[in-house]
Amino acid sequence: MIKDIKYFIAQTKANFGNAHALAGSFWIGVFSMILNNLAFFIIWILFMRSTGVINGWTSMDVFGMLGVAMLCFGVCHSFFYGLVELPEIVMQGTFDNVLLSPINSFLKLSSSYFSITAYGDLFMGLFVVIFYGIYMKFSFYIWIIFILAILSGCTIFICIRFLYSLVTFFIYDGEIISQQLFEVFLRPGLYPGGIFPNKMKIFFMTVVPALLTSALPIDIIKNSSISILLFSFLVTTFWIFVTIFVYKIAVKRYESGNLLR
Amino acid sequence: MKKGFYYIYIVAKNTVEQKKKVIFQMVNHIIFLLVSLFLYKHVYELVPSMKDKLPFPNTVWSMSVYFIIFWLGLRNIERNLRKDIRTGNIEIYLLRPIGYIWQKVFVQIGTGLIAFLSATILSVLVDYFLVGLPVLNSSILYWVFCIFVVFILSQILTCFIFVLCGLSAFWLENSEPIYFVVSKLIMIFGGAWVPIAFFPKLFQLFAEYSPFGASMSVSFIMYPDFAERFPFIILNLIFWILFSYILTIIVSKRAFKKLAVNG
Repeated sequence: MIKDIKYFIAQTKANFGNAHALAGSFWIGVFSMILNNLAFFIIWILFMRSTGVINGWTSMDVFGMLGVAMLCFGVCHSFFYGLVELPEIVMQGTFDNVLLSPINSFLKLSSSYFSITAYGDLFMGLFVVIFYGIYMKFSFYIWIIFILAILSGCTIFICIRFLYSLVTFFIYDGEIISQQLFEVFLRPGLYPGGIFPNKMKIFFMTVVPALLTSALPIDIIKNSSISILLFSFLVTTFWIFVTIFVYKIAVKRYESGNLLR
Repeated sequence: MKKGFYYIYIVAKNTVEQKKKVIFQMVNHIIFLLVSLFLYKHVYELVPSMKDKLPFPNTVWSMSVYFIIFWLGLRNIERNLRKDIRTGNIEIYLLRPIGYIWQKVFVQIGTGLIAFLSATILSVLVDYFLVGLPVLNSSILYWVFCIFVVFILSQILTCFIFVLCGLSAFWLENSEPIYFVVSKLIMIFGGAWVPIAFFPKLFQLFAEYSPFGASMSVSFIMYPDFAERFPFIILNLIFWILFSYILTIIVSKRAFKKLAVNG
């Protein structure tokens, strides 16, 4: 396992190095994604100004929430982009490369691709989250809770992204379906957490766990609630098991395309 | 003109084969529409003063219209142009009897047509049965007429905007950042996630006057005072269409002079 993780780290370093080798293109990609993300900050902060505080959520909380959402997205797409490319890999029949490699197939697959623009999400998310923490004057205890909640969010984001990519093993043309399903998961997480009615909130924390990757970490620190954090861990654990279970079934269904390279 | 319609028809006919894609696009559309509807319903209950800015049914219709147009995918014109220019495939299209830019526009309209029509039917049904018609100060027939006219003009403007973004690939190594900025400006000023009626007055004015807001001005026709806004919206659209048309001619002439066919 340690060997696999070492491989993953080395591959990620190589990916980053490759991306950074084309310095101009890299920074244009990163900067364009930052500009792209700014639109959401403008929209929701203007909206919050118009409505005032909603269910205890201020403009600053929405700011922090968008930062968390970008960070989760950035982590998944910067370090695990191979999961996003899985439908194409399967369609081309090149999944053999992953299966035959003497490395853990999940880590091998995850690190096989990278997205330059995702680094924009990662950097911006990281900056916003740190700024939010400093602005809200988090204590050491709150920082720990906040980081754990974000880690849980990142994990669930990776699981869901992977699960939707696994659709390709079960349905022909799964690439398109996978993308549409992912959008269904992503969009609710971009709405301010304060505007969700309770029942809807529960739905989007469990069945479609979008809020775990955006609003829930903010709710956890606003209430300093360990019980919500534990709930978040519970849901994450459940989705990890579902992902592993589905992945095992999916791999059994794979038929080689004889395209070994 | 006839050739253009035939082109669109052929491409649209091909997309019918991708039933699964359209079905899942519509599932995505309906889920997003319902989520937005229930979230805004909750916001209106929490902040009753929102009604003064824009009545609830108008908010829902305004956002629906944005996402209906989204499925037409005219923004993809930029990506297709960029791809052709970067790969050199542009030369294949230049040999055809229809102008290159027209081909790209027709193909995109044809590609998005089925999803657009499906989204229109579904959204009208969902909005009508869940929130009713929007609050209007004029007759429904006049409203439908205004929607039709503004839709056609605003989409012509959208085509010009994204053609210009795509043509920038002749000069830039990567024109994607321009696309990102323009598409997000349209998202903000077109009232995608939040109708511009909730924004500060100055912001609203800029949205209405700018080409970005104008390209999504159908969403402004969903406001109660649409009849008063209509003449201004039309004049604004005509101005931006003429401006972008002239700009497209100038830019495309210069761009094609730069073209080096790789054989």
